[in-house]
Amino acid sequence: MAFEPILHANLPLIEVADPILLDTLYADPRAEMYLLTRLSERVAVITPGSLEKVQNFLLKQGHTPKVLE
Amino acid sequence: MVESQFRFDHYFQRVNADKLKKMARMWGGTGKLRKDECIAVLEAGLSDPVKVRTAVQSLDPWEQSALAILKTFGNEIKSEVLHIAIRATGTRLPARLSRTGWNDQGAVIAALFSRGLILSAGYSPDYFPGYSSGRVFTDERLAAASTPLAVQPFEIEPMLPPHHTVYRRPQTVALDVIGLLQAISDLGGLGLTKTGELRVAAVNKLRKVMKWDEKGLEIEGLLFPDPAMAWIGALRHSDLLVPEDGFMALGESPEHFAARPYGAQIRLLLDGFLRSVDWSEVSGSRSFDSRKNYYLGRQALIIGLQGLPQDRPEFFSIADFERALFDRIGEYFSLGYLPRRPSYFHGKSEAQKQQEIDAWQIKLRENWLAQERPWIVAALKTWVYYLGMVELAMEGREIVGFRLTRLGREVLHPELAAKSDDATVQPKIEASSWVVQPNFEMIAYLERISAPQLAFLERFAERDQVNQHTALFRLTRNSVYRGLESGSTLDELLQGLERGADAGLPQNVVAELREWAALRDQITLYHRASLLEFSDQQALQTALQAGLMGTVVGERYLLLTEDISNSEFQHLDYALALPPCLNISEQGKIRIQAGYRDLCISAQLDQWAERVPNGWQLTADSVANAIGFGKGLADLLNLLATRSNKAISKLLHLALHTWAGENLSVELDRVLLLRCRDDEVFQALATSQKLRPYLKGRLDRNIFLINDEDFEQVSAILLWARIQIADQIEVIPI
Repeated sequence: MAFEPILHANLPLIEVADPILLDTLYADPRAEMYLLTRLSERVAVITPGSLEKVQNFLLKQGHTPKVLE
Repeated sequence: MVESQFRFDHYFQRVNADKLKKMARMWGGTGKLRKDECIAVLEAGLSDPVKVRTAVQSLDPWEQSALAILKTFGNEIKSEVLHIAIRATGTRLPARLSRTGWNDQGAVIAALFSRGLILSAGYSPDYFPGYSSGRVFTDERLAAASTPLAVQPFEIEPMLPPHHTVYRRPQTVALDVIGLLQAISDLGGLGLTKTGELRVAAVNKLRKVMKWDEKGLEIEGLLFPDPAMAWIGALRHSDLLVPEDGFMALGESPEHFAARPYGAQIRLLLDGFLRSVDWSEVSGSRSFDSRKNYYLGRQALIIGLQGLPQDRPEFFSIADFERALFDRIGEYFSLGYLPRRPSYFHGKSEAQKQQEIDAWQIKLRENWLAQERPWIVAALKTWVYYLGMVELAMEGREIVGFRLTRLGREVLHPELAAKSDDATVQPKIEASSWVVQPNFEMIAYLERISAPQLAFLERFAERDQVNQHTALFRLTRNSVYRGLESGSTLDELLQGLERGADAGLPQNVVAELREWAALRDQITLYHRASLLEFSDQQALQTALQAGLMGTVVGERYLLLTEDISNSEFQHLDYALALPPCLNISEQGKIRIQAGYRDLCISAQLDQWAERVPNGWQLTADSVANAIGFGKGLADLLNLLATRSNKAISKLLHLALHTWAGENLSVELDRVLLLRCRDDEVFQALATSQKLRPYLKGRLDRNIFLINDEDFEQVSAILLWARIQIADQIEVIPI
C-alpha cells in the first residue's frame, strides 16, 4: 500500500560490511534481543536506547565497531 | 561576582559617608568633604592610571602585599585567606594590627578598608563581620597596578647534604596527569547524581582504571591517600573538569593540556589543589571546618615555599622550615582549635601577664607540632611532591628536608625562572622520542619526549610502566581502536609514530595497525541516523532523481547524509517516546492501529508474541520462549504500557507474570454451602453427631462446606428436623 515518505530520525542502526556478520548476530540470542527490523542484508535497526549494549557485546566478541553520531 | 563588577564606583553610594572620607584620603580627600564630594574624589582617582600607579606605590609594603594577593585570586578573596596570606609573606605589619588578642584578622581587614583598598563582597560593601569569614574584593584598577608579591625570605640555613633524595621529573608529572585526563575521557566523564554530587560508582570506576588502591597511591615509598578525591577536586577547581549534562566532563582535551609548557601545566593544577576543599592530606576529621582550614593551610604553605632562600640551591630541613612558618602565622592559624592570645590582664602584675603569655605561646607551639607540622610533611609528600615542585631528602621512610626543583622555582617564582631552563621547557624537536619494537612494545625516553607526544601515546597505547628515564607503552588492538574512536585517523597515528620514532617503524607493526584500523570498517553503529522510508523502490528512485542525497539501503530506504529534519516529510523521532499504537485484548491479541508505521514495533512484537492474521497473539509459550532467550518481563510490560492505547487488563497482566515463570495460585473445588443465619440453628448443626461425617469444614462464621455427593444425606437430616431449606444462597452480585 502506498504511503507518503516517512523520515525516521535519531534511529540507532547497525551496518556491516559482510551480510554473514549480521546473520551471525541475529542467530546469537545475546545480540538478537537488541536487533529489530532488518532493513537490508547489511543494515538493521537497533532497539532505541540499546546501542551501547550492542557496542559492548561486539567489543567482547573481539569486534571493533566504528561508532558514528 | 562577575569580573566587570570589580569597580568600586558601583558601590560608593552604599558606603557610609564617614568611611568614604577615610577612603578618599589616599586620593587627596580631606575629612571635611561631603559624601558626594568624597565619591567624586575617589572616582577621579581610580579613573586616572597615573594617579592609581602613584597611589599604589605609596602604599606600605604590607598593603602592597595585600593587593598582590588579591590580584592572584582574581581580585576577590575570603578575608581569612587574605589575612593569613599577608602574615605568611613575612611583611611587617603595623604594631596596632598585631596582637590585638581577639581579632587580628578583623583589624587587618578594617585597615585595608579604611585605606580604600577593599570593599566587602557581602550584603553591604562597608560591613566586615569581624573575625568571621567573609569575602572582600579590590578594584581591578588597583590590582592591575600592584607589584608582584614579595615574600620575605626565611632566615634559615641549609641542612647537611642528604644521602638519599627523591623527585619527579616534569615529564613524569605530565605523563601521569595526561593519563588521568585520558582515562576520564575514555570513561565518558564522571557521572553526577541529581543533586550534583559525584556518583560513587563513577569514582570507583576511575580508581579501577587508574589502578589506585582505595587506601592510597604509593610512589617511591610515599603514600598519597585517596588520590581519586584529591585529583578530582584539583581538576574541578582548575576547570579541567566541568559539569556538563549530568557528568563531570573534561574542560579541555588531554592534547590541549599537554600543549602548555610544563610550568603552566603545574600552575594550573596547583591552583586546583589550593582551592580544593574535597580532600585532605591526612585522614581524620572531614568536617567542613577542618576542610576549610586545610584550604587555608595550603595557601600559607605555598607562600611559605616562596619564602625559601632563592640564592641557595641546598636542602632545608623540615624542622627549620616549619619553625620559620610557625613564627609568621602560628598565632593566627590552626588546622583545629586556635588558642587566643590572652588579652585581659586587669589587676595582674607584669610578671603574671608575661606568665600567661608564655604559657599561651608554649601551648601554641605544642599544638602546632602535634597538628600543623605533620600536616606540612603530608602536604610536601603528596601534592607538592607529586606535582614535581620539590625534591625530598629522605632518611629511611622519613622526610627530613627538601628543596624546590627547577620546576618548583619556575612555578613559584615565574619572574626569576630562566627562559631557557631545560627542565621545564618542552623539547622542540620531536624525533627520537621513542622506539617501536616489532612486538608492539614502545620505549619512550622521558628526557626527550614532549608533553603533546605523551598525550599522543596515552591516546593510542596502553602504558605499562614508568621508570626514572623511560616509560613503557604497548600498542594493542583495543588501544588503537580507542584512539581511532576518539576522532583520530590511521594516517595521524602512523605519522605521529613515525615522527617520534628513533629508527622508523617495523613493517609488521605498520601492517597490523592498518589491519586493526580496517577492522573498524567492518561494523558501523549509528547513534542517530536519519533514514527516509518510501512505500516502494519506484518512489525512492523518483526522490533520488529529484536530488535527494544519501545511501540506498535495501529496496526502499535512504540513509541520509544531510539534516532534513525541518522538511515536510512525516517525522518519527526515535530519541523521544514513540506514540501509543497498539490495541490489546484481554486474551492477549495485539493489533497495530491502522495507518501507523515505525521501524521497531513489529520486530519488538515478534520477539514476544506469535504472528496471527491481522496481528499478534501473546501466549504462554511465546512469552516463556522470549524469557528463555534472556529477555526480561519488565521489557515486555514497559513496551505494552508505553505503546498500548489503553492499559492492559489486569487478568492479562497476571497471565504475563505467570507465563514468565511466577507462581500464583487460587483454590477451586466443587462443594455445597450450608448457611445458617440463626446462631441457634448453626450451633445445633455444628454439634450434631449425625451431621458431623458430612461437614467438610467451615468457610465463615455461619457457613459449612459439604461434599457435593453428600447432598441427599444432609438434606434428609435437615428434613427430618423439619428445618426449611431455601433453594438458593443469597449472594452479593459482581
